[in-house]
Amino acid sequence: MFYYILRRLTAVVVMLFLITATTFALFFASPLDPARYTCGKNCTTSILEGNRQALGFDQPVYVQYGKFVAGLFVGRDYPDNEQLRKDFPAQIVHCPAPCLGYSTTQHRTINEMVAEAWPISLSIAIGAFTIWMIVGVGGGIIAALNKGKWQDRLIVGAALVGFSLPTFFVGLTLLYFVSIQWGLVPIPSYVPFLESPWRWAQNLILPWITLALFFAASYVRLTRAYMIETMSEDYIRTAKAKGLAPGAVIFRHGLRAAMTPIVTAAGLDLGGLLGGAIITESVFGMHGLGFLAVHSVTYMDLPTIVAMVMIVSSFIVIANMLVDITYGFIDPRVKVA
Amino acid sequence: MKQIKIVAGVATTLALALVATACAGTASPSGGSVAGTAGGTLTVLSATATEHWDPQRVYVGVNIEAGNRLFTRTLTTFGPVAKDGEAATLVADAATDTGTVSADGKEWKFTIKDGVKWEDGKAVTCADFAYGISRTFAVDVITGGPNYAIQFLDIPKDAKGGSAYAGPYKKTGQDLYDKAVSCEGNTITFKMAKPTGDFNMAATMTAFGAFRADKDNGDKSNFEVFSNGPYKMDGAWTVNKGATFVRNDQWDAKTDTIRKAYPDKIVWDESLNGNMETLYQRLIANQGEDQNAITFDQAPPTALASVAAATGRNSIVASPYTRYLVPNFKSKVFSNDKAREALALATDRNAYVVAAGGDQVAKATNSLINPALPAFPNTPLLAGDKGDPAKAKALLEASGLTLPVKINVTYRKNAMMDKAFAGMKLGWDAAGFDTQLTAIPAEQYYSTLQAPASATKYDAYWAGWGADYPSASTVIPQLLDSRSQISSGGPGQDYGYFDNADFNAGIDKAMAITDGTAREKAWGTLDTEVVTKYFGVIPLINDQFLFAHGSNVQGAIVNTTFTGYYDLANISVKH
Repeated sequence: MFYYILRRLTAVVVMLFLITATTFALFFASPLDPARYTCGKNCTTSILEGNRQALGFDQPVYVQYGKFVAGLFVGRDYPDNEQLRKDFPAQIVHCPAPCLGYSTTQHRTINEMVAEAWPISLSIAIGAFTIWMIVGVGGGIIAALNKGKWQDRLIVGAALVGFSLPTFFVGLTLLYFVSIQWGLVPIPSYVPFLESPWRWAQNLILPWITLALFFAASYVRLTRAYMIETMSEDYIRTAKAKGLAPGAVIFRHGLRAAMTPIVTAAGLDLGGLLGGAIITESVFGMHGLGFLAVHSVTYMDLPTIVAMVMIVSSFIVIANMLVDITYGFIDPRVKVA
Repeated sequence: MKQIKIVAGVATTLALALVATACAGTASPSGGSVAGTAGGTLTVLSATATEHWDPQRVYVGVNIEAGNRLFTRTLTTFGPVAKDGEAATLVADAATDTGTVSADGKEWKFTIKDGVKWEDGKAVTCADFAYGISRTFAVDVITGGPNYAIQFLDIPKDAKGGSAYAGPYKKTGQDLYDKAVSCEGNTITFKMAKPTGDFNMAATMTAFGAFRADKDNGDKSNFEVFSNGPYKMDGAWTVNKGATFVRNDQWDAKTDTIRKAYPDKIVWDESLNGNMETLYQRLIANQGEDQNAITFDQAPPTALASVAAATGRNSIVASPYTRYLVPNFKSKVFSNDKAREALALATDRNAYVVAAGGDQVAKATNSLINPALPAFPNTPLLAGDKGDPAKAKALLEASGLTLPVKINVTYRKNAMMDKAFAGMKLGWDAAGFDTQLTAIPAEQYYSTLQAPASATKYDAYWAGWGADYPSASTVIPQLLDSRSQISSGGPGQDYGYFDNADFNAGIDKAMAITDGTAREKAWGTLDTEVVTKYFGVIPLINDQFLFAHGSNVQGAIVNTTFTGYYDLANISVKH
């Protein structure tokens, strides 16, 4: 197991370097000049050159990438240009390792921005995940056990509706009616959990419902399908025949066997969501990692774009690895080698 | 067909609503006649992230407005107005008067008032102004701000147009700056490279404001506020959240005739960043704390009808922008005088107006200078607002070009512009052009226009421009002076490579006029000349700004002359 994890972690690191290098290359291959974004309305050629220097974009791409990688291990000082730092030491910003860079639009280190944003994305993801797993898996089990009955048709029908509604539509509708018009919950604004768990939940309930509605719908169908398949297996019939309690049959034998594909999907969905729920965060004004990613692309903030690509990729790759490891615990027949 | 009818219906309803509201707005302009109430908390809801608060880096109307009215007093400013769109007057702010100019227009003097203080109680000095303005020259640190100081001051420039003075950090060329900007007691003297009759208007921008050297942290100062106005920042600015501004007890109202500073607190809330629709839903719903809120964000298309219907809580004013078309003088087609004239004659501005939502949202124009500026020449449309393709075709046939003449016209992509340009294309094609439209995404638009490679790729470009202060010297030279704009790096803002020696001489002449009325008239003449003689620019429309505010807000009046946004000088909250 140890060597398996080590091998996978090594692969993760190599993959992240490849992804960041590709992002750098793509960014500089685009026809856009990032310095134009910071140059102001009345921009001249000489001022544009000054801007490039200020941003560190005046150097060859491989030098910039090299500095980025070095910063991950030893940290960096900004502005990037050594002469500028010598000219005016008061402006130096130190970015400790692992330094993700310095945002050209927010004028602070990306580490600080990520530190602010990740609790928001984590809060949204964990809350929504909990709701959709309870509702989705629970609904799927009920539907499977009542296959063909009204409960099944109701749950599957509701799931279809939930899956069909785009998240931006659900989000905006909930926001407008529940929050703005009826005032049942505050207009969402992130409150840290440690500051007030109640207000944290109050402000996050709408984003949770929005995301959970979408994801729960697919988990209902997924769980239902696998549960129906599993519950028709011979060993389930044997379990029932030997007089096991219905709960033990369903959860210990049925659900456990049906869990493998559900855990795979859940792991990847959660991993993706931890990297930011772009639409939900934007609709509810939650400035998590998803919002940060959109903002950095809109304003051509290269250092932030690269950092976001790296963070989101990490979540997905690590989630994938954790799912693989979890298989071993769910199904003893699966061995990681 | 059904879809077209629905769109037309919505546009008609909106237009009618706008007409009704515009009339109501004139009678009772958003509480403009209501006396202010001291105290309370005003909320500024913002769906746009503030890029800078550093006075030398601020170049967005919203932040010039808020910066000047809250914490950065400038030498001069524009006074508040009594109703939306009324012309404002240039007045002294931190200076004792609006400045004294030498007979040749090349030297300006201002004296700083006694009693103007920083938030730590120290006096604001001439040296603080000199230092603040010097920061603009550090283009590798202080990015994003206006560069008028570099353009105007008598400091030599290098071959690339950069200043020989590199700013207060490197100090290269410091002696040159000290000669151009000098202090004698509390009197600051500016020496100009060329006669600059309207420099006292440029001085209204916060880029010409004071900055204390001991508070300067370069890029780290971007969101720091060290106030000399009626408010100071309470704590630090948080990106995507904002901050609260509280009273600055060192501000002396006796030194300030402009700012009434009614609210005790101003909460600047940016948590809605990127969410304009929700912002306007909240303002229109007018619930709870939102009754005390204003915004500097223009209403998005989805909210136009409801904003227009919110009588007494809205403002519909002319925007400071002119949208125009630029024929590319480097293209084979539009280096031909008759082809440019044909394009101008065949342009159907009405198609643009209709696509924008009707003539209450956009108005056809044939002047590059915005109607809000004294220099506006109101040049008549050459062939009405729909153009004259038949007359244009005759001209094109006489141009020596073979019909149909292929042209590639670019515009900034969005749904409205797609419709506007599809409409205008019909007129151009009817005149004998074979128009290919190229829609470029907004985020790439101006960098594409300014790329040298575009000179041989496109034949005409859409563009937009708004004056930085109410002088056409921030329009004509900034867009058409080939000497300052065109370089090996691209066309600057002279996107069409218009390069005319006579016209440039006219710019120098206008710049040198110290009499305001005569100078603005000269700018107006140049505008008409470039539009009707050289066909170097084809003005299209002036659009409108729509804003809304909460029901408790009093004195929410748009100061079109100053920035085109709600003026915080006289605003108050009923409580």
